[in-house]
Amino acid sequence: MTSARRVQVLDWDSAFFGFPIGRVQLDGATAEVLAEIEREAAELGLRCLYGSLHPADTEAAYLAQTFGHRLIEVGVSFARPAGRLDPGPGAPAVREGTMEDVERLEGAIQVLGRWSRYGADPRFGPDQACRMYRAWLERAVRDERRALLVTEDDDGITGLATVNAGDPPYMDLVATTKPGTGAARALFAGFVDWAGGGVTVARYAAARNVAIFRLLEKCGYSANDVRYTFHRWLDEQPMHGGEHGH
Amino acid sequence: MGTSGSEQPSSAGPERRLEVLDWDSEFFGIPIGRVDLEGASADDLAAVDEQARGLGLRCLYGFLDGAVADQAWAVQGLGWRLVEVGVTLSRRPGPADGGDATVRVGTPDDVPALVPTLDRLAPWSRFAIDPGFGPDAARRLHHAWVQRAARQEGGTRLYIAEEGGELAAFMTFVEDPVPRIDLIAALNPGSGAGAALVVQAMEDTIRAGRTGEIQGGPIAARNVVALRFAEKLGFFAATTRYVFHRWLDDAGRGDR
Repeated sequence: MTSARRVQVLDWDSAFFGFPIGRVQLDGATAEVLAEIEREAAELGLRCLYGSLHPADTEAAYLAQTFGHRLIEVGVSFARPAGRLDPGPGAPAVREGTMEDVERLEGAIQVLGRWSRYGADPRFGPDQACRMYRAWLERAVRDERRALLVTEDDDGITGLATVNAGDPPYMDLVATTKPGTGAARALFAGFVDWAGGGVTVARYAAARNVAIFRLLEKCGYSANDVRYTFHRWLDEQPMHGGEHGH
Repeated sequence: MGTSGSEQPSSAGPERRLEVLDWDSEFFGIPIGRVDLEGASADDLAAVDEQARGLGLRCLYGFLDGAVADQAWAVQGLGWRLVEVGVTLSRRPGPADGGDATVRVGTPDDVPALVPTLDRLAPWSRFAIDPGFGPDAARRLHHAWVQRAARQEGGTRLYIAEEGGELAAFMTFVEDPVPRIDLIAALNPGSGAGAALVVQAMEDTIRAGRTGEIQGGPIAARNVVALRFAEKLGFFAATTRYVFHRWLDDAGRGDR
């Protein structure tokens, strides 16, 4: 008897990071399902699995950890109803970024790298996280369904965001390097304009990033979804209660 | 929500990192301790394990600022299970749309009527999802918490909102160290009764001469409905805290 595979191999991530990586949905996972995932990932020769689940499934969220899936990010998605967003007084102008801009964004990339789940996982680490963000920004410039938005002042670029023409359009990355300049709010206002003034989504802001929560709330966004993301390194044995840390 | 009065994290140094929780130990019938995970190295945590075993503890609660993502990753590799991500919200007490419900302070006589709603909330608890505790323990804890507020113990209060003379919503409130709305539940979400309770809490805070912020939560980050409710009432996310459980035996292993 054959059954559909639960684990999906991620070709882009595998090539980019240089080792086999897969992805699996953990919603509703029981102990039997998690054991099956382990076998499948081993058969595929994977070294790392990204797991994702909606945390309303609290049992699976806990059980997955007993199988060595470490929770690496709690992401909250926010939605905003249609309508223009006032960028605020004295807000910097927002424009679409170019490949030349990406080269000038190293400061922002360093900030993003520290915050990302790849930066927090030492087996990827901040350097790999930054490398991934450079590729991410380049893709936003090249891909016609995406865009890189930037703000700048006399000293250079002060903020960036990547946006996607989904249905509804969504922002999946935002960072500023000069706090207090209104760049972040201007980027959200620019995003709403880029999306034609309709419903927009900001996904998935790390729950640990309180500053972005506050900004989104002030821009009229409300939380509408939460996802847990796990990393499972297949060569790690999960530690249990009766075991010692060393 | 905070589910026992003794759970606030401390900023103790390594030598005072572990604290035995008498109330929780007695309530759950197992020896429990609390650990401040902030800045703890693998060696620190190995020492904590040893100390806890020496004290006969079976379970440890661990607390960590959510911003320290690499440490959250590291402690999971040492047997700590992440059971909750809590967001505490805050705002200055002031005007808000509070609806038409009548609000009064609750008494122990009110508690039996709250039980069905409390039982619906219990599965959201970090204790419910941990097989070392389980749903029944979570329900018992919710009941005990509300009874404590109804008796106004430890600076807590129970508020009841009524519409047409019928129970519509309830709230537990903690006075110190910062005024905090701890647990809030509405029988008919969207009726405005929950908002009336929040407005009452803010008015009482102002009347008590407290000029600082009022807090709400911690709300589970996975509880989107509660986050939206708080945002609508003018609360903003203030802090995020990760909560872990560490079992020193196999009780938290689940059905693996």
